[in-house]
Amino acid sequence: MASPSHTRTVTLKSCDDVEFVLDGSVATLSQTLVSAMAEDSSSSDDGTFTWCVSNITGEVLAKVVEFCNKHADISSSRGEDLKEWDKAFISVELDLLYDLILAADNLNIESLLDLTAQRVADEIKGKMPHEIRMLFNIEKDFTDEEEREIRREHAWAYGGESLKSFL
Amino acid sequence: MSMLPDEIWREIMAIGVGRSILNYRDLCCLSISCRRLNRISSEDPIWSNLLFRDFGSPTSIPNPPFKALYKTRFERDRSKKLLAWRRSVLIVESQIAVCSKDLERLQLLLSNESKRLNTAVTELKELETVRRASVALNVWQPQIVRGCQKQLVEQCKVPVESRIRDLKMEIRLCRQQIDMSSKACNNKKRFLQERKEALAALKYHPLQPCQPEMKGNNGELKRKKKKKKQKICDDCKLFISTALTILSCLLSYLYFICNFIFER
Repeated sequence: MASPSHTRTVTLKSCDDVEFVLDGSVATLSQTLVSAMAEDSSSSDDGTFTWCVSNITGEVLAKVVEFCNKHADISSSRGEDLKEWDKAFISVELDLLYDLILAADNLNIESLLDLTAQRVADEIKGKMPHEIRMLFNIEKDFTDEEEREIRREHAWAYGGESLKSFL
Repeated sequence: MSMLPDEIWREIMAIGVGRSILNYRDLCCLSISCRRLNRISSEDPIWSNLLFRDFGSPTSIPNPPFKALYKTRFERDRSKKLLAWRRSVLIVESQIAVCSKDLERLQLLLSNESKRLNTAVTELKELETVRRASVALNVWQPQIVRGCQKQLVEQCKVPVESRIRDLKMEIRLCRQQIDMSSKACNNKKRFLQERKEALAALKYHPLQPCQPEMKGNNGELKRKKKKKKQKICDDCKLFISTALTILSCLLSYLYFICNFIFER
């Protein structure tokens, strides 16, 4: 019988073999880890559980662990302070943001996914189509004819009321 | 970022709409950016959320597709918004007009002041010469110089000292005025630029592809080409004139030799 997840220690191993040791209570933020621990019947006597995350590098995993530690620490998790901390935490380059999103998705950490998605939405806000393409490195895959069509289809949104104050 | 799986994009848009970060315009911009984002950003759950957020709870249960529904509701709301938009455009345009007029006035003032300054400075210089001459009359000098100076002093009808004082005062005032006006001018210019940008943002429309940076580049390119052409032209002119000079030299030399031979 496996011991309850919050009393165990969890070792996370990145794809480039960097290891991070987490408290069981910290690891419960990740739904992936919780279900993996529940399924894990081969409980070792010392109560440790090792989980390899493929396709996440040590650098990114360190950020994820930092996030989990902060958010699991109940004494510091109070409203405004935590919001400020989150804001500072998420002001990263877009490349790292991308990796963080994938990691959050992979480990199924709801709060991190939420935070990263919000940051991406913030980036999108108020941008013109060509700016969005440039921002996210998106290739325009419309043909000229299709692009004309799609622009015509969406012309209703641009009658001029672009000022956000009118919404 | 473009590699993110669909469900994450979906999540991003849902959170963006849910927290009022994104609006219908942002979603439409996403639609115009590429095929996949067009597909994801047109999905019903997002637009039904937006519909509820922007127009309140519907009286009857609406049928999908919600994007089209949003469009209909939006267009019904449009006249009101259009009025608001026209008002804001008018406000900005009138601000621009007023500002340009002010700028014109200031520039006129500036040019008048600098003209005044110039005349004052010239007059001051002349008076200074007269003053110096009158001082010089007190010491011994050759007769001819003295005569000139005397004439100069006698010709001047105004009381020199007080006029000089007045002129200096006027110059100082002019300078102050110019300083103030040019500062105001710069401020106006900055404000004008700001308002023009605001107007451009107000008037953005997807059916009129706006790429000012491209236009700017083209203009510069054209200018460069023109410059190059001009340079080539200049080079040609230089070459021709040099050739002509050399030719005329040769001709005169030939003429000289011919004369010499015939004389013999």
